[in-house]
Amino acid sequence: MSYGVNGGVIGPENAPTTSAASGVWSLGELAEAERDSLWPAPFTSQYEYIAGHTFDGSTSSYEFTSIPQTYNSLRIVATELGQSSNIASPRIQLNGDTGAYYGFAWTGSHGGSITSRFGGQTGQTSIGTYDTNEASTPSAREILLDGYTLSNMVSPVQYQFATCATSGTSNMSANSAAAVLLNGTAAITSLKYFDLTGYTFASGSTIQLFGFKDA
Amino acid sequence: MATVIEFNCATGKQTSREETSEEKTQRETDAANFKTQREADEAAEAKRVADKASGDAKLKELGLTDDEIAAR
Repeated sequence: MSYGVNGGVIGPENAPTTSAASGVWSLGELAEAERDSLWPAPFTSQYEYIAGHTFDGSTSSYEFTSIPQTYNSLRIVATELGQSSNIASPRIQLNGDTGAYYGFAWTGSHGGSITSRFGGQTGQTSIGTYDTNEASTPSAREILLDGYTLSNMVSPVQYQFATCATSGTSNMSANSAAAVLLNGTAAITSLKYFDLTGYTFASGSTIQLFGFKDA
Repeated sequence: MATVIEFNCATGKQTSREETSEEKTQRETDAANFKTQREADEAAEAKRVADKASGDAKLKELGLTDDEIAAR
């Protein structure tokens, strides 16, 4: 018997892969395959981590390209640390669009006042404008792209955003929600994250991309 | 110059480079536009607050109570 395959007690010997392990296996053989990360993992409906990045303070934009088309939906989680001189307004740009297809509308609460705006087809989507300008104060946003691979319908983009400064005149909280208007039906293959205010992302800010699969 | 990063999900490769002069110009233009928009928003909000206070004061002069004004 070769290392890494079953014993062939019933049927032929088989080498396991991360997607299949046919045949009859002893516990020892299974343990060897598990140790080498060759045993198929249980498949459940869950978000899988695709990629992520922690910023060092010098980056003005971060783009995910060649996004796999094998998921049902995408989830992007971004945290941004406030900078004392900067009221942030992070954006996403899909498929490199510069205005033909994607636009946005949002509503939010800022310091107790309700604001809403139709951003029009600007090629970019606001994902939490009027962020805090308090140094090191974090804001968090979650973006959902359901049906991002479909080419026979328009796909909505949803986001949630929250932040709360702790002192001074910027003592506030803000929560926003937005939807993207699409004038086209191309699958989403790239997503660029940047800040409209022109500042670089503060050191320690993060962005992560997840994909969701059905069982 | 700021850094621009691209992560290719298919290859798992991340590349970074300095932004081009065109990207820098665009970033500065966006920043200026955002500043203008923000100032306009803040002015509009300040006017709304002032108008509300003025309106409330006039309603009070007409005899409305604070509760009646708040319930409008």
